[in-house]
Amino acid sequence: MLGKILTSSVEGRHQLKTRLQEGARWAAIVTLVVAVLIPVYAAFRISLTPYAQLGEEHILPTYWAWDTYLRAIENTFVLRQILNSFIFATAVTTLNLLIVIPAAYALSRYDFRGKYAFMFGVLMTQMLAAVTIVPGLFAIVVETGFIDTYIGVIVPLVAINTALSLWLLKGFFDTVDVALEDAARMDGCSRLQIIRQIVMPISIPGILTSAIFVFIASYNAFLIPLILLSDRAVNPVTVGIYAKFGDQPIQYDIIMAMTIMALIPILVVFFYMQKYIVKGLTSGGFKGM
Amino acid sequence: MLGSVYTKSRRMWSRTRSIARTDSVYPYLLILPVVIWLSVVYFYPLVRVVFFSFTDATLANPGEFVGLQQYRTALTGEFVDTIYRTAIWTGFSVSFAMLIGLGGALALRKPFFGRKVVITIALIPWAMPLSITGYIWRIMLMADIGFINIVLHDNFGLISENLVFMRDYPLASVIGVRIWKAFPFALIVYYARLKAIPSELYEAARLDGAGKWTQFRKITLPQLREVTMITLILLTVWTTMLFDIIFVMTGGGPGTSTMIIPVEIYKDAFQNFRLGRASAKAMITVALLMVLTSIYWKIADF
Repeated sequence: MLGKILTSSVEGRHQLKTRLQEGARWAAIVTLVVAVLIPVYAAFRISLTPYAQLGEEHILPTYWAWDTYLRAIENTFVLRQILNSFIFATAVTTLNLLIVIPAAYALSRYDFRGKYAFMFGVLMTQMLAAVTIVPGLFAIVVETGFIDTYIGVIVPLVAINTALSLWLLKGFFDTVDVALEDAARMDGCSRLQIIRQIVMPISIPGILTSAIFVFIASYNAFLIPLILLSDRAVNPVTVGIYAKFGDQPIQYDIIMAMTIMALIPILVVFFYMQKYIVKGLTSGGFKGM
Repeated sequence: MLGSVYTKSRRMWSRTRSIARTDSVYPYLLILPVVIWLSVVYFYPLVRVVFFSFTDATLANPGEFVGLQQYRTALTGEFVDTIYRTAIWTGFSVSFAMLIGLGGALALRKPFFGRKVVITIALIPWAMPLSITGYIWRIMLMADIGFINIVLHDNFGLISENLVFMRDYPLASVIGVRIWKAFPFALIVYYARLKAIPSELYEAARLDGAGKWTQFRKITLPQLREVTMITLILLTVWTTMLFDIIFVMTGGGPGTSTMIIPVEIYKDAFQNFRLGRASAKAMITVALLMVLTSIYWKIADF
């Protein structure tokens, strides 16, 4: 009898412990989801609240002032600036991959003198970050007359994202079996044929992953366009919204409408490409850095 | 210091396989575009920054050679406080982001219905542009129209007065935002690493009678060591050099309460037009980061 009570109480304690653990786990998960979503929701709520009602104490959206979005489109450059962001991001991604794919392939497949010095140099660009080269970059862009042009922003952004894509892609090429290439070589394929017909097709997922990372990073770019572009019509949307904080009074509803509009494209890319993003974030790429 | 990083990284990298050792020009041709591109828009500007740092150049004129003057001024002036503040900003944001990331990854370890959705949601801050994160939080934290005060004060009356975050807790507030932005990276990296730990290790430990806590300490933590060091290095470098969030939220203010190194470099160069001074501070920062990374690297000991 006593034994039975003892065992059941031990079991009970064990059960309680697991239940507490489960409770803590779910509390953590719920907190995490809520903490991530609240700022997005709050931004959305403000974009739908008329300016005069902004301070009112409603948690749930009470107003549906969609015309804020119309006013933002009419009175600011927001659509033009989102388009600019896309132009920058697409151009940077394309150029970046064009120069990085061959380099990553070389690093993955060949040993050559100076290889590690080169890799170390690229690693250093990660360490230096944009902000340390900005004084020199600004001087050069002014001297060459590329200030306030698309090219003046695109060219530095390609360089700034080189380390990111080079490491992702090198990591990816490292996982691709070399046996196929060896076989093709035996069959008398030229080096270019091997790259075009064998390496590229297998590597499409890896290239896509790198492309998404560079695209997101250049859509996010802020400092470089901030210093190199003064014209609001050529600014990307990240800088365009910042300029709206200079107005008096600051139109928070318009600003949040612009923010939501700027977020939508990047979140669409994110949700569509999530599989590749998770793969990229968890692949060997980041470990090499 | 740098030398040891170089040899160590070289040892790590040389594990890569290759078809052939080659003396041909082919691999050089393949890396040539990157070499040229980085030389023109990364290393050449860097050389200019090094030169600027020994002059009193402004945006308008190239200035004159002043030797180490700019470095002396920087290291005896307010910039020292900025370095301390940056250390606080980086230290708190990175450690909390990593702890929360690890906690989240552990909570998401056991499969459940909807886990994929939760991970997608958790990654939203990662995908969100830094500047946009700053705009959203700047308004979230406002005293009168900020959502936090609307919930805590107006609706639930949990606090008697609106919290004025940017007046009373400016540095803590921006650190909080940085944590919100950075923890998803740590979470997904830990999540993937946890998944890769072979379950046989836990089974063997269970057979030996090890409890949950012992299993965590003796198996999980050691397995996470390498990934922790890498995430730590990356987040430290990224956060120390992070310009966007603080610039759009506070511009370094009120006063200098949130002034960190990148924002100060920007203000020196583009608001006070002192390229020379900004460049000296940039060089000091690079040196500090290299020392810090070398120390991490030494501790990591791959």
